[in-house]
Amino acid sequence: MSIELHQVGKTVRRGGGTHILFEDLNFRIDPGARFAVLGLPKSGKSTLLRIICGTDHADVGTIERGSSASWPIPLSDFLVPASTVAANMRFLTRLYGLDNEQILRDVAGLVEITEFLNSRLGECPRHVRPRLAFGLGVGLGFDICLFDERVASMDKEFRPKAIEIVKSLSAEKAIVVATSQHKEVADLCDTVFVLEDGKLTRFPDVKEGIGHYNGLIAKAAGDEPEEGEAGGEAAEDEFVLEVGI
Amino acid sequence: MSESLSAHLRVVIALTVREMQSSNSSYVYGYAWAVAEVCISLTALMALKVFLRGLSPPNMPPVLFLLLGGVPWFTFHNTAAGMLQIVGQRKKLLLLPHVTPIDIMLAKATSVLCTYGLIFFIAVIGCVFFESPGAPRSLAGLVLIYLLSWFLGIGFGMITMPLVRVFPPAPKLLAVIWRFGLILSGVYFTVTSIPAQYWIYLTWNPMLHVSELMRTYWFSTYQTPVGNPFYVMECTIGVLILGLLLERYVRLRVPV
Repeated sequence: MSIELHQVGKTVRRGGGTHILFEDLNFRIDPGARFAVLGLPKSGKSTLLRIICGTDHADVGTIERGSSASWPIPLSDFLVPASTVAANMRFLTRLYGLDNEQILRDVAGLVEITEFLNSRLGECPRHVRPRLAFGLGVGLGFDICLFDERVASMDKEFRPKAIEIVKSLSAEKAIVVATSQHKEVADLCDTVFVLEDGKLTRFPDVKEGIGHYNGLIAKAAGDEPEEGEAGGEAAEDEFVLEVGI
Repeated sequence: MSESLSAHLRVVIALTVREMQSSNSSYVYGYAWAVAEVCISLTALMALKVFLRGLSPPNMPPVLFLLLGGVPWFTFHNTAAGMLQIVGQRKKLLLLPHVTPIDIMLAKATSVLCTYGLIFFIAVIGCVFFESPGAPRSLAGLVLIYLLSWFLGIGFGMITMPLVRVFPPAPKLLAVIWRFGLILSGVYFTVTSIPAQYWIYLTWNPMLHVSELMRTYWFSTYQTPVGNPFYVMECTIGVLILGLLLERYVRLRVPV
């Protein structure tokens, strides 16, 4: 039960020309994997996630899917604001063959939005939508949970709980966090991949991977990394403004 | 294979329910508006028929006559026209694993069938009660031809959908064709009211066969001289194959 990418390549149109996003990419996600994919904005992280979950196609290579993968969490564009929270949840449980009221209540309870179940999503407080998207992504029983950018890109109040929920996902479940910021990576992941110039480099040592990525950030900003900046907070904060996938 | 098919079926059902729930969901009474919209269209059709009274064929109750031609036409038209832009309108659903453009199109088509089928059923019951047209000659024939008109709409939708992707103003041009189609598809008349020398041109249109056959399968007083169920089947299979091929071709080449 895994998802395996063999020699996957993807080209995109950018600025009137074609741009190789990545090529000859090999990647295997086994049960229990805790991976982070770090890369600069527009390096192809989101595209990679979409290829993993099957909503985008690779131009070359093969993908073997033996496990189910979530959409890139906390994506929520498919939710209908004019429908109730419960109707939105039922749509997704029905879509993935889990037409079960108990799951609906469990997910709502998990992300603390039970009181809004019968309210229209568009009329709910702002924090409900990202929580709902997060809850559905982790609560619908996918074998692999994919996170695009921050794991807990939601209200401050719920953020620590979201991290705890992801940490407590069962050992059979895999997570892949694709991000240009690495704040949560060291906490959640045991392997780092850095997507750089269309190539994916594996770092079994998380700190080493983060350090390498910080070097990449500094290089992109036209700066050399300062000594002892492996944690990279300063470089990361400078870069936040440019994040826009 | 069967697992994959059942997964597709599950996806289409979920999308259909969503389509029906979300259509007009911003209004009070939601889906009821979608049904009311169809009823208004049919009432307008009947009003027009009253205005064109001279074309009424004898020995057929007027409302049922119109329903048997009009509902299959609207089912065909709304299926094809609805599928035309639905993938663009619902492209956010493509962000979900397992959801493909063809699932979204089939869900739209299924929601049209459910809405029109429901109204057709209720309206026919009303006609039976008020117009006493007698029992249909072939209920199975009626259901089969009605479903063929729906499949024909799916096929046309799949053929025209790539056109919209390549040439976005296409729906405006197609709207003109639909208007002619309504007039030429025998919704308001039977082919016997047209001089026989024009039949050879009119019978290229499979929807004319549908209208003719629907009336023949209900009224014992009318026997179509041109309606051919095999022609409708051949056209349906033809457009479905062509539509599926085009959809497959366009899917990877032209972005939604």
